[in-house]
Amino acid sequence: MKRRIAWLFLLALFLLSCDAEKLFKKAPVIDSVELPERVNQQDTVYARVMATNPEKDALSYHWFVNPDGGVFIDPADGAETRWIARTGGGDYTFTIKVSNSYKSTEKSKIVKVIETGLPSVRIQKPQANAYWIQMHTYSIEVQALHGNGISKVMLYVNDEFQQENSISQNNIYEFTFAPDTSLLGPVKIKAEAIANTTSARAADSVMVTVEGIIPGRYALP
Amino acid sequence: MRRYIFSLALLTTFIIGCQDIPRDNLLDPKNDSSYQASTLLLEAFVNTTAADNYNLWALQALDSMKELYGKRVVIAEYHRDGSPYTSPVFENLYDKYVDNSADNIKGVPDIFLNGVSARVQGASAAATVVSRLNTLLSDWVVRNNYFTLEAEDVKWDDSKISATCRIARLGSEPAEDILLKMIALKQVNSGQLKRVALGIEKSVVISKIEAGEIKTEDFEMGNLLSRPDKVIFCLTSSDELHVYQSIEVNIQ
Repeated sequence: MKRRIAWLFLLALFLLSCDAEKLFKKAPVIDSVELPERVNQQDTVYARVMATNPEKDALSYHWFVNPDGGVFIDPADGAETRWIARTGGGDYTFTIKVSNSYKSTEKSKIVKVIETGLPSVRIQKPQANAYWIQMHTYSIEVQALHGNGISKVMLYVNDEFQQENSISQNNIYEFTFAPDTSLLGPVKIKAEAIANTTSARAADSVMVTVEGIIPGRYALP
Repeated sequence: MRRYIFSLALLTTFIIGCQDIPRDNLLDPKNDSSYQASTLLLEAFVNTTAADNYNLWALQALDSMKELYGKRVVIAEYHRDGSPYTSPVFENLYDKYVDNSADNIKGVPDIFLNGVSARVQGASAAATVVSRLNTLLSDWVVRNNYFTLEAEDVKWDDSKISATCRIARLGSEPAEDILLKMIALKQVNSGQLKRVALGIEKSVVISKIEAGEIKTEDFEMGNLLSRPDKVIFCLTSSDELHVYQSIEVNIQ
């Protein structure tokens, strides 16, 4: 009995501490958000939200973009606004938060900013003028970056395609390669990266010197 | 009387001025700060019977190293080609070196600097091997060395070499578990067989040599194909993987 009274007392305290009026009010409803799916760098993006308010008071709006960047040229606190896409490509999440006096609701949409520039590609390993030895296995590390991401990096040896890789760690694409006896002397290692969305291509290359060996154990008589 | 006084004054001056002679000679093993220039050992495993020129280029590069570094580098060539100069002793050494290298892939030409301290394998031209070796040697040759080797009585006696080599430990630290090796070399021709190794003889492992101490090792080596011209003495770790100091001596 004592325990029941204690629970009732706690519930009463909770109800008293709440704003009872707010408890039964409804949040605005976002009917639609108008935003283009893809834009180019520096394009002006027109954004509009259509929302209805179950309560009869005024609505307030707040737009924000993640990652932060670009410029709102209209105030970002109206039902519609304009935003100038930043120069870096990528996916930008637009979020509109609509509030009445009691509650708020929000909705997000992604706008892809297309970067028209070429990917950045750099062969980090091997270094230029490195020495390789036939039959040994070498690691090749290529750093490739693009605002819209990299779809794949392709490896060429003396302009002959060898391998491709679409998986990276911290934008580093790794390959392994063992020069066979057909390679000797100066050899060109080239990596070509292809960007997502635009398929823009860029390449980097280094020269290495492959040293020849007569492999294996000499069989003693 | 005057003469007596003068002699007395001289004697007094001598006694006052007499102190221990400072041991500041850098080559003196009794000097705690003594050190010696390094003589580097290059050991080349080659196959001169192969059709490819890789081994020829490597040997040409070794000639260039000898020209560049003179007495600061000594070179031994171990042949892995089925010629009479091929030996299981050299094969075992090669196995040991390769197994303890970063890349354990065998293939000649394969040049080791001071044991497995550095390795230059393969060739695509004499110039590339020169470039790779020179990068290494220019670094290693300037390093201080805390051993002195001195050979004496290196003689060919009918069918065997007899030799004595002294090891002095320089600096202030003792050294442990070292081994002295004697490599017999012969110039078979002036082409690709200039420094052909004929045999290797090892001392027993020296468990400890104190700073300033001098040890003497005697060698005898027989059962050789022919009379060698030179020997290399090299001081190594007991597992032979690291070479600390070397000298090359003509056989009398």
